[in-house]
Amino acid sequence: MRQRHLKALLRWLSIVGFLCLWQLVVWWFEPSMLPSPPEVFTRLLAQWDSGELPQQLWVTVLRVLGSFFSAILLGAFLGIAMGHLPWLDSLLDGVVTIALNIPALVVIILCFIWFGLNELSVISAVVINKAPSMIVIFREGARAIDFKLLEVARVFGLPWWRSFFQVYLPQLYPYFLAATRSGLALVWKIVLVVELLGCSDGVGFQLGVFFQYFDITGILAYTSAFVLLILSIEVLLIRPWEKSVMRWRG
Amino acid sequence: MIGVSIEEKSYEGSQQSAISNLNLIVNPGEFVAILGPSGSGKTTLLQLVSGLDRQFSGKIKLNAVDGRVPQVGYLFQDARLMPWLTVLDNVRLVTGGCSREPAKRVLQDVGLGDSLNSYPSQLSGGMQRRVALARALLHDPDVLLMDEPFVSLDGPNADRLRHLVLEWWQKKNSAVLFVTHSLDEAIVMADRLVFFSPGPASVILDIPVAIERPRAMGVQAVKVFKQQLLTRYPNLLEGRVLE
Repeated sequence: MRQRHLKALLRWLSIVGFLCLWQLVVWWFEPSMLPSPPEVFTRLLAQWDSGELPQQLWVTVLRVLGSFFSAILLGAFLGIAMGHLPWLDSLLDGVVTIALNIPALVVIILCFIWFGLNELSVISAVVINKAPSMIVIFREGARAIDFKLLEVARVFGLPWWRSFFQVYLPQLYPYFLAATRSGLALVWKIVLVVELLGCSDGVGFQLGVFFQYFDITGILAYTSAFVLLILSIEVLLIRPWEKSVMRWRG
Repeated sequence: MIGVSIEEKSYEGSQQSAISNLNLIVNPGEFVAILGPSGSGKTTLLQLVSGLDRQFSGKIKLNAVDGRVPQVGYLFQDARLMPWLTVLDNVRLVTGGCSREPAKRVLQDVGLGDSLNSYPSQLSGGMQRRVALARALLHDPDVLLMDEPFVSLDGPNADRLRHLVLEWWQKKNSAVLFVTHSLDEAIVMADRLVFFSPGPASVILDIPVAIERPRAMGVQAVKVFKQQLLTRYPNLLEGRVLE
């Protein structure tokens, strides 16, 4: 119990420490290109009050969620199938390796050229970028399935849905968790680039506008809003989920 | 009832068959122990009877007393518990999520009443096997297959569980196939002893145990029975019956 409190304290300490360091740098060097944390925070509030920030944030969040769930569904489906079917693995392994190594930027540009400047392009670009690494994670998961446990389910005559949800799927939870973690972190970064290049709304687009005006405070305000959002998803959703799924590991 | 008639069972890549010409019938309510040297196909037989392995030539029939599809219970050599479920949930898993009380009771019977909410990784190997036994008994099968279930348990615990299995069996009247390396244990538990040859397995001796129940390890009747058997067939446990 005490150790847990200590861990939480250390986590907060690192964040507070980072903010202090930032403030100190601003005080000592008075750089023209780096606003102080309070300035950024004030700007954040102002943008929020104007309604501009929530709206752009919402657009981007929808894109992140849409492409994240598409990528994880595709990754899980193909990865698990490849893990269990050696012929499918041989068939698709080359394509997956190529897809893993194509630069994100190339995929984004091609999607916009081929599908036009629309939501389909945005989602496709992110999914094509992210799905290959999810496929690799889920393929590992499927390969690690312990079939001896499924034999138990078979012998004792468990109905298929019970075998699936209580014996098969729990073996993949750690891989779902890993895919979610690495997925969310990367997906929102890719979405911002996509928005910068080919959208007329969203956080990425707005960052591009700030860039043109050299508005560094605006850039940092938007960035912190998004970081705060992702952090809350991590703390409020992913960690509790991890805790309940991984409890047995002690 | 278990009716086994296996002409041939071999594994891919292996030169020798695992089982060849093996015939065996276990009647309802009969407790049959299988003995034989290591690698003589005892576990293979259980895999075939359980239906997990269907790659063989021959026939295996399982019947319940009242003609329905028989429920099968299998105590594997390893415990095979779901690591992400608590002890209680592991036991409840095979019963269609039955209410907690019967599951708790059977866990108390195997001496794990204090570990209901532990996870398998927190238990010793012997305790995990006890959970597996509780799981099999709660399933209440018409056919119970056991693969050396008491092997890693200390003496008193093994005795207690043997007693528990016999008590359940006498109440339920199931057909039991019990693989063991211990002749004493087989004599104490079974109605019939079936000895296998070294691989490929076939039955070399099938004898009833004519000792009144209850029996216990180390009592005179068991000792005498064993003595007589081994005097008559000195190489029985190596899988040879030449007198």
